[in-house]
Amino acid sequence: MSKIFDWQLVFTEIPLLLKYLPVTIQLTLIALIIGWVAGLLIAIVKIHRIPVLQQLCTLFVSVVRGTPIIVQLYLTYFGIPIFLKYYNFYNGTSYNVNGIPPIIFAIVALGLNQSAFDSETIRAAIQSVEKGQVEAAKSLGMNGLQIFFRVLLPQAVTVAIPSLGNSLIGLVKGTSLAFTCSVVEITAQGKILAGNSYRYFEVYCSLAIIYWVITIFIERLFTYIEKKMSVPEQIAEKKEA
Amino acid sequence: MKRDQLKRAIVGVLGAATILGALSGCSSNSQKPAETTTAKASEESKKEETSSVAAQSGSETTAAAEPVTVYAATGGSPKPFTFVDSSNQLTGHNIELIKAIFDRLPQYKLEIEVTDFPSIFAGLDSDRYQIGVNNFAKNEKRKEKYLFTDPIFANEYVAIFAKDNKKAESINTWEDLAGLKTISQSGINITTALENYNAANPQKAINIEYSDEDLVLQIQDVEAGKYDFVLMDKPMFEYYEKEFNFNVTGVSISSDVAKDLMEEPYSYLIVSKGNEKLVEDLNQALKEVIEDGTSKEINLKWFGSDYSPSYK
Repeated sequence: MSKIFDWQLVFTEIPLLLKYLPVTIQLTLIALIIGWVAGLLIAIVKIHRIPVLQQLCTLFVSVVRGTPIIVQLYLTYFGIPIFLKYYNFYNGTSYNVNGIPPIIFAIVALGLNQSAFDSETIRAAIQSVEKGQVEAAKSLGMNGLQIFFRVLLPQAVTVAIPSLGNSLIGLVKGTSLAFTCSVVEITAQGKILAGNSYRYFEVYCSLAIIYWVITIFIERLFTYIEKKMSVPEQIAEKKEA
Repeated sequence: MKRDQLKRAIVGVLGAATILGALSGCSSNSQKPAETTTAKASEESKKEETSSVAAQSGSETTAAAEPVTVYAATGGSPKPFTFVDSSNQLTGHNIELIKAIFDRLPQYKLEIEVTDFPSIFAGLDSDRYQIGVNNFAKNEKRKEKYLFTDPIFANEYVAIFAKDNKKAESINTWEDLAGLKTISQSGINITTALENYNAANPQKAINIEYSDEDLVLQIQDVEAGKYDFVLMDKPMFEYYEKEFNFNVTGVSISSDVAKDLMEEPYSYLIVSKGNEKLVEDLNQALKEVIEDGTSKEINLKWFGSDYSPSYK
């Protein structure tokens, strides 16, 4: 019975895994931006009940929220080449996806996934702003864009921040599935290291520590932002409550 | 209000049209004559030297000048078949063997990618990868979906029992394992072997429980009596035993019997459909690698004994 669990390895492996932290961060940040921008657009479409687009967005959100992220990664990374294969066959073309770096597929899949979740948060946040505020702005002669950027958005952001932070944490952990698209981030590197040492359990412990620390950092960051951005009134309300 | 609704409707229709237009953007390009696409293809190959086998198989004559890139995928596990070593280099028996094979095929350029194990199959289905190299066994279902090269490795399996398990003493053949409970990961060669056996012997079936559990945990479960045995490749078990010093015994399953029961106890390279020419070339080179002793050398390096398949 020699060393069933090598606890020292848990710590010595962390630096080796951290080498791939930039990949995890890159995946997270770009997917986050895609998620917020696309999520905002979807939310606007839904709030204004724009016909056709609204139905498309509802379908998109429903599909994305209704399927596991690992399935979505498979669909983008392997579905597109299959589609191209048929396409090339019927049109005599020779498009090839191997030239596109795999990380693009992972980022797009994660970003779209994020947008579906964030769109609902953003929609709810915008709708939480009182109608009276919009009417007041209108009576001051603001146009639609002005109302949106000066009245709706600042108040909506404060409401949305906690939920957006929550979904960001979900996204960080979602990046751990990017190995399905051959993207080597920290979890993938962990599996690769364990493939050599056979010590999977130890690596998973190291990974747990790393993800936990990242999450604590994000939590802190969002608490800070939340404090900074909160509307004075809302603080007052909280104190009273 | 009516004007508002009209405005919304216009925005909606235009927006939807833009999205649909963007989605089908590639289709409008393709209607252009073929010359633009070939120009694009050569441009791409100049840039990154990436051109699929399918794309160039038609122009065999030009292929000699410029090697065709073949993408192979591996899961980077199990060691010693395929793994990434401490200096971050992909290596192992399968990897050295496929490199030796491609040394004899100057018309191809080999790119090996490490990916999640199930992604190898998905990648072969979509022709993202042309070769899967992960000590793959053959079964009927796989034969329908993928092309197989000639065998690259002759497997020997061991059944791992807890040391105090009396059942271990009476195991000589696959049939002795009937009714016992085992655990296995879906898709790997051992599971394939077990499934093949069960399909051939429905009355004397082995109970397979599927799990993505790590092999170390599987062996520990056997030690703890949760499962009766776990089946492993013999050379792999030797590596594990060295590392962990488990309280278990490995019972070799007589390979003659294994051959009878499973028709083919070998590992192969698997190739995505439509690359028949590639398989032909691979087989030719593989034969050379085995006949000139390169394969034996690689086997001795990793396992201490020769598991090369023999061709008669």
